[in-house]
Amino acid sequence: MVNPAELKQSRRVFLKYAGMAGATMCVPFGLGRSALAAAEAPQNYEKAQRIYSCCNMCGGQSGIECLVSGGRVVSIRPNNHNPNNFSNISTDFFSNIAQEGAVLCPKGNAGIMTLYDPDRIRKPLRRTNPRKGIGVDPKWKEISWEEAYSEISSRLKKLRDDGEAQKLLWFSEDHSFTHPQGDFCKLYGTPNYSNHSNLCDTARKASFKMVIGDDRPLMDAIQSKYILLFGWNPLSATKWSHLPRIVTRARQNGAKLVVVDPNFSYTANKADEWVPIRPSTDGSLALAMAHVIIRDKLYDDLFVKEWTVGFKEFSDYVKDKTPEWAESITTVPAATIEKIAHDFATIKPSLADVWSGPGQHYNAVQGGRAIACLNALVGSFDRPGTMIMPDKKGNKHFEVEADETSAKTLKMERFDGVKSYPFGHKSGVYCESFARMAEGKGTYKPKIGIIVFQNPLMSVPGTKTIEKALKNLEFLVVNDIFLSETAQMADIVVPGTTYLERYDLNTHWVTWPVLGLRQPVVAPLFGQPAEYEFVTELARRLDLKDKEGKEQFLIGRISKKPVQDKKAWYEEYLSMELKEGEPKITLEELKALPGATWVSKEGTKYEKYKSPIPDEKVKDAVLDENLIFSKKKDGTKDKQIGFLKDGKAVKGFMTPSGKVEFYNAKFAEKKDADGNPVDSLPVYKPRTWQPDTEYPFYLINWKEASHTHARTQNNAWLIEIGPNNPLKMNAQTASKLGLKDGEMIWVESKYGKMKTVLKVTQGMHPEVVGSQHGFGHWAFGKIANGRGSFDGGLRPTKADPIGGQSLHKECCVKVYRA
Amino acid sequence: MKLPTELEELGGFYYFLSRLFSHPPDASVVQDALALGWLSDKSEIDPLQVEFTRLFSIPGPEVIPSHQSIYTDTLKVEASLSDPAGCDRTFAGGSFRGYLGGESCSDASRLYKSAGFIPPDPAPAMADHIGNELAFMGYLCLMEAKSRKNGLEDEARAFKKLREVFWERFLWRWIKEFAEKLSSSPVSEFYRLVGRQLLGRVLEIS
Repeated sequence: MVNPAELKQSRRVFLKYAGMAGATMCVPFGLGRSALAAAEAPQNYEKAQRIYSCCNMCGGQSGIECLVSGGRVVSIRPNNHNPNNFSNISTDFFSNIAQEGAVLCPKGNAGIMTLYDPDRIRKPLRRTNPRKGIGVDPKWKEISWEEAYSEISSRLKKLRDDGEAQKLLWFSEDHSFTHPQGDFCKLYGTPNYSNHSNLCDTARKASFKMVIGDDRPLMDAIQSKYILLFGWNPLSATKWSHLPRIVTRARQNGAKLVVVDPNFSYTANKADEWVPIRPSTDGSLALAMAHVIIRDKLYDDLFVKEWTVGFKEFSDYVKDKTPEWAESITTVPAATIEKIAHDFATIKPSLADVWSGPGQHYNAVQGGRAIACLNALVGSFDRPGTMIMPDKKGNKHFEVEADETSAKTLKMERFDGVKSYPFGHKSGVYCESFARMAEGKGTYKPKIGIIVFQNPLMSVPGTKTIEKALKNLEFLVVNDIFLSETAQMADIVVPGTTYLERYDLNTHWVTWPVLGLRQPVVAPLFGQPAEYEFVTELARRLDLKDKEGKEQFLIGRISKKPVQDKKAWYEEYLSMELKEGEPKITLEELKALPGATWVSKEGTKYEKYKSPIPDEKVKDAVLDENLIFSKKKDGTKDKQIGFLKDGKAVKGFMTPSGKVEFYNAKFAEKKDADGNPVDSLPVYKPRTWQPDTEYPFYLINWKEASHTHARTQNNAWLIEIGPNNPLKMNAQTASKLGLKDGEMIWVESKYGKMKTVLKVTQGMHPEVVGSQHGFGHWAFGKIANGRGSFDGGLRPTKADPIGGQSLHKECCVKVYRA
Repeated sequence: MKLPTELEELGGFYYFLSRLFSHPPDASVVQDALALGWLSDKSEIDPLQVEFTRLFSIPGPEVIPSHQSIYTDTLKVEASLSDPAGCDRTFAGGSFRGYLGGESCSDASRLYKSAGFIPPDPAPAMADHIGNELAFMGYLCLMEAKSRKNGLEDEARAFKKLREVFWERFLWRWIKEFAEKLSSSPVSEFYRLVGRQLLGRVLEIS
């Protein structure tokens, strides 16, 4: 029986809510009937709208064409107007795109499932449990955006007001909204803006930088006749979808493909020859090849004479680096080395490229440098079918200048000590940063961390160190689309956007000037701000101004007037970058271009190093010995633009000599981060951590097409393609250990252990075990959580001492039955 | 036919439930829940807010999905194009259940718009959120009551019919499952009771 008093109470409560809701309601005449008619009418979705954009399921930035119907993305397809998913050389793109059409990799197709993933974070969250750590429940409490902004900005304000702005560390992904984040850090006054690159390929960057002065040459596979890849898997580690196509096309054109890799990767699978090698010894193999090429006078004599320096020193150095010497180091038979060397030097054009396989060991930079030198020997730089220096012309970032307050802390030493890495990259050194934070080292103690779309707990080696480091921060904010492992350590988590909900400009991965637009295909699903809007709101709340007192995050870059709407403000920001850059168009004009992609008609240029520098440019330049620099406003030298070759001003290579450098005596004046002098030559030294009786196997890891790092394992479709990451082991090795395919095993290093399933194969070097990385989440989402194994805890938090590259492969383990 | 006051009370009931599912409870909501006898005097706000977040806001084993799309809709994914590398990295296409932003969202948005309803959470993927759908039911009750009070019987009938259509086409398809999950969740005694109240309402209507 219903209690009348209770009934009265409930009536009172419900009528209160009715009153609150109905206070502003009116009933327009006929509304009910028209609404009913609309409800009963058949669904009539408008014709699907076609919106061009760029993918960001990985760093490849392929062009995409999205079909949107009823406000929903219903399909993602390749964008035929964007070379980023077809070819990296212009002749191939211009001639063949119409017939063949662009391609999109599985991750690109599957982006729709990330957009609508039910595990996405929808509202800001605040931690209520002060205790932090892996496995500790943060006891999240959903809060409003106003509460989130208010707390974050007040914390940031106090830090800055206390003169400690440098104690803010900011980490972000490296392909999205980097410019506004960098601007924010500058105007706020912290030198500590870091991003992803040093987790990936800064060793490769340093290697090529030392030899040719350009840190990101791209292989022209299509026109090559001999492709030699060291520890790179472009067919499957598809950071960008045109790579499989160009390698396949190269093979169709008759190119020979040789893959040096301990793991029988997909690329090795399609190669003419797979050369299994002991990890981290690739540099010695390259030196032995150089020995053969020089010994047998197979090098490009003219190129070497005209365009290189240090050949004699290099020749002297490799004189005793015989194939037999390399065989003992690499396990690659001397005869194989002889053959590869001969083929590489005589089948032209040839190219040698290297990526993360050899690039994530302690000796990675010099090893990669030796590989880069192979190209120098045969003249394989910037010629068709070789390693091309991309013509990087796209949007231009307008540099903001810090005000007096911020300038004081901005000029302080970076916390990650990147300057102590002689070829450190502007992306910083995550390993050093987190190790110092954990150990309480460094010249100051960071207090606040802001991490945007990064998951260091799973992506930086040495989980325990990263955990300790994050715990040592007073306040941590994470902006992400998922409640990642790192987010679980945060004080405040704010939901981010997927690439289908925001803007960016993309200029990478092709050899001539191309710029693709990423634009919101749908509005942010939960009404959350895009990351650049988040940054802008913080900057406004902190009242950040530049040197001239201008509110750079409020004043429109084009209109020069305050623009309150943050999206509109960012649209002007992008327009300014486009107008000041090479395209010289506005954002709206870029949107209107076919495929929302600006493609320079000039196409790929070769042998740019031979290009003369116009007299008028030389007159306006600064000459320093043989080198030509552009001039800053104050008359001092700015960027190197060329050098004097036989009295003529030419572009040359952006090295200290203007030429390709086998040798640089000045490198020896530099010390690496461990205090050792940098070798003037690409000297081979074994990496620090070698197998021993207790930990007899090298442990490596890799990427596969199905996933990107640790961020796609909650995607059901991609999980269907790549469901887990068993540990691969050579069949003979497994037999010796008495282990069988499919068994559960422990993989243990001196830093930790992981349980996983064994996959026995012939496709792995007998001394090596390895698996695809990115699995083994203990948070993130219901599909990812608990799937596969995580190997990050088996390594120390260590970077290579020259380039600051995270050492994801410097690890030795033992393997035993679980 | 319900009296306007009965409709207002029913509308208020929906709005109250909508509030409970849309944001963590605050002091005012706790006071109302106390008045209803849904909470004991000893209840504190902070733990309730954490319970709300665990139930409705963050992924995990305890989460109870609060969007219709997840229960009733299908995400259709087209086949990927042929794989140029021949690495078996293609997908034949298919349908997936359990995703956000399904047709329920766009359908609900369309209905809200045509009925002049502004949802409590206007975010695009939230149109089919339990809070919005319940608030729309409340809105239709109140509009029916207002129409009746103003002597607009045709309008009142239209709003009543619209409420029936909406219930049948939207809430009815998933609210029982939602309420059952909630009423058996170990996370929160309060929300278990809310789940039972909701379930009672579902059974009453059916």
